[in-house]
Amino acid sequence: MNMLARKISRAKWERKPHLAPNEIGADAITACLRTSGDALSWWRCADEEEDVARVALAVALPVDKDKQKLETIDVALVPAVELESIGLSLRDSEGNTLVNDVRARHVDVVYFDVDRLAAVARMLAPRIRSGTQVFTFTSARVKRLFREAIGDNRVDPSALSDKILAKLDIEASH
Amino acid sequence: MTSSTVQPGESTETAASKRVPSGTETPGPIAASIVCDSTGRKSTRLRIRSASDELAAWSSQVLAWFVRSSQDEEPTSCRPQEADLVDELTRAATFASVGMSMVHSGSPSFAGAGFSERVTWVASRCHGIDNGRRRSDRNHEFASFKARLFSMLLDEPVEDCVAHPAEQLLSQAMGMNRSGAQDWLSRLLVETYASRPSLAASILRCVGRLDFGEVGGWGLHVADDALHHSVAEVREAAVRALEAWGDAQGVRILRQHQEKERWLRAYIQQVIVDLSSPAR
Repeated sequence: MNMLARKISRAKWERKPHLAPNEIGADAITACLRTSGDALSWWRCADEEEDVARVALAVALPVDKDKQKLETIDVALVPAVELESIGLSLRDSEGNTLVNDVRARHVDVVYFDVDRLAAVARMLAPRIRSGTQVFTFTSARVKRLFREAIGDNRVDPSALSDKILAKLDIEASH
Repeated sequence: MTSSTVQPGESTETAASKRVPSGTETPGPIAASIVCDSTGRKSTRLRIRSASDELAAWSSQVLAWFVRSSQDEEPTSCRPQEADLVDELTRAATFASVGMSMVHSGSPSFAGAGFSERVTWVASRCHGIDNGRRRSDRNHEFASFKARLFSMLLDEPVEDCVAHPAEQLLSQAMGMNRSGAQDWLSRLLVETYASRPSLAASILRCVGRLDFGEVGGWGLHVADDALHHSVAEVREAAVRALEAWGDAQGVRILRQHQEKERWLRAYIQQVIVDLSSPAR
């Protein structure tokens, strides 16, 4: 698992009419690369759709039930070594996710400054724009993934809001 | 007598001139029937069948005509009254499941005395309040709604899979006055489409998260419009909305759309497949 994955809003990364073709809209950073404590949250995965799907599930719903929305999600990948090559460090930590078996795949990428943030944006943009290392999971697919994960006891259904359970056609247990 | 149905786009005057069989209701959201009272006097009864998606549009058509035909005023000066009449009828139809009945005496012409009385009664309530002040209050409410919505969306980007505080604001506005909130949102989208497309996309994302029952035909129309926007982010927001609502008409809209961006085209194709699948 030499790649790192992160949820992105794909449209923010595409070419904009008011920018040159190689330029990246600043919204891509403010929407998709919002640091906290000069760190960004990523997930280790392989460059294979099946494995990216596991990570997609991990980031598809927040832990807070009131904030859960089941919808289409885009996940972009970069090689971990590329992040390290610009002076960023990787710190493994337990991920805050509903999916039990990917919790240990969480990585805090630390020591971001403005230049490194822009550098990561420049790593991501061509991959997203060419569609080579970006994966889209529609809401129907996310639903299927959740149903499977609940069936495999990888997700506890009690951690999901009633609205989400209803969308998954699962009865709330209360 | 032959059965007649009030069709969308058809003027109420034209519809009124059609004959309705006694005791039989016409199909459609507005049911028309001829009723006889104990003295044998005939009257036409109109009933809103349900609070369907088309209700606001139908009410607007019918009541706008009522106001113009029963009040000797210019159409422009009737606008606040029309809005209140629509509100009145919508509330009645929403909260009383059987809908609202309006009866007038005389021949099957909608300009009978009963209707005029009804319209005059509601309109008099509107006249009781200074129209200028009402307009000013509405403008103030709109400005306040706009400021709150923009502030929320600019403070915090809409993140995939995560609820946004603006959704609650939209739901509240819809709950208080659905057609009014839809009108406000349409105005805000028109305002932002050209100058602030990212903000327009954010508004659309929040609209797309409302239940289809709240947005209905208006939502489909908004999404259809947004699919023709030059900025992909706006078009993507429209696709997401149609995907979330999952309505068959939304699928038809997506099928008809010619998308130029490869990534968005692929997404649309997958959404069409997903929504067309029997096991969703």
